[in-house]
Amino acid sequence: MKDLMIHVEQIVRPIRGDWSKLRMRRELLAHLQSAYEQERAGGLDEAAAIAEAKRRLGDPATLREELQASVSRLERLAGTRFSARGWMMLLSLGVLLAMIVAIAPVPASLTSRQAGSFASVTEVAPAHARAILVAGILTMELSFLFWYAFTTEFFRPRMRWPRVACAGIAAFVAQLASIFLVLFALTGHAASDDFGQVALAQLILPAFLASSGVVTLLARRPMKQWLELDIAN
Amino acid sequence: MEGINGDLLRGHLQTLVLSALRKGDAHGFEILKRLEAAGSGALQLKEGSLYPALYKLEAAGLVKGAWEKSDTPRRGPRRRIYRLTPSGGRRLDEARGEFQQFVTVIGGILGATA
Repeated sequence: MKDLMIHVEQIVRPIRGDWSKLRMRRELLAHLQSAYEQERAGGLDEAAAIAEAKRRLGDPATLREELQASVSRLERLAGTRFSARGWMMLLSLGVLLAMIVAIAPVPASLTSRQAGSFASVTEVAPAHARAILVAGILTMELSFLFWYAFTTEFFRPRMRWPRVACAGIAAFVAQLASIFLVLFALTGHAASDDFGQVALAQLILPAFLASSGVVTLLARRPMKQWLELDIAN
Repeated sequence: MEGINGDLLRGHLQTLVLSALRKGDAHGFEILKRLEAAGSGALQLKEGSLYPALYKLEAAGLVKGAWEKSDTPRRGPRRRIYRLTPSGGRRLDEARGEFQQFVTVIGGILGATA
């Protein structure tokens, strides 16, 4: 049975998709099991019956392509993981955005604050404000990366709780810091009076991601036995 | 009889599946057995190809699948039972007409008796 499961997993695991992969696994395994029983009833020994059942199923690479073609575009998108190249593109875009902010005209709110129409606690020179704004945006991007790391942990075959905790805390701290840096750059004060409210509002994203993660974890529980299979050989 | 392999069957597999399901609800392995029986052993189908065809048919609403009940007296993983939907039945009738026309026209060109 395990031999057949590994064969199925070798076919299904590389497929880009998510929720329909469990169905593929179960159906292909049920099929292989039936084929195996048929071959055994026909007089083959166990090893030969397993080999014949696999052969009857067809070439794994071709079958994988056919199964991949049956996965909807939406599901393919949901099942896409960032490659190293994707990460580099994301980081490059982040740096580009920060550069644009660094050379962009001074925001209107800064100009009006400098003109005295803004009630500010701390005066910040426009040049410093711009640097703080860039730092705020970079920190925000960092928080997105941490949130991504946090979320993807829920999709791993073996979830690493210390990493989930570290990524979650780092993401939340970076998110808070970025909000206050941007606020400070634009208004000259870090909303110290509203600190509690602002921090509370920042809990919406973590709460959403964490609850989605838990739902994902529960939904993927039936897949656990599949994802733990070693399919290297 | 010479076998009909997967390349020749491509494009017809979904219709064949619909036809097999007209005989009654069935899981994948049973559909395959019906096709083999109907083809008198001439269909040389790679068995795994059946499932992508079933998924596409289900996505198109031509068949409907449901997992067999867990109290079924059978060892091994549960199977998904497929049934033909009314639109699947209509599609099968259309495909039959199209295929008849194809056989008549191409058979006429090739000089075969249709």
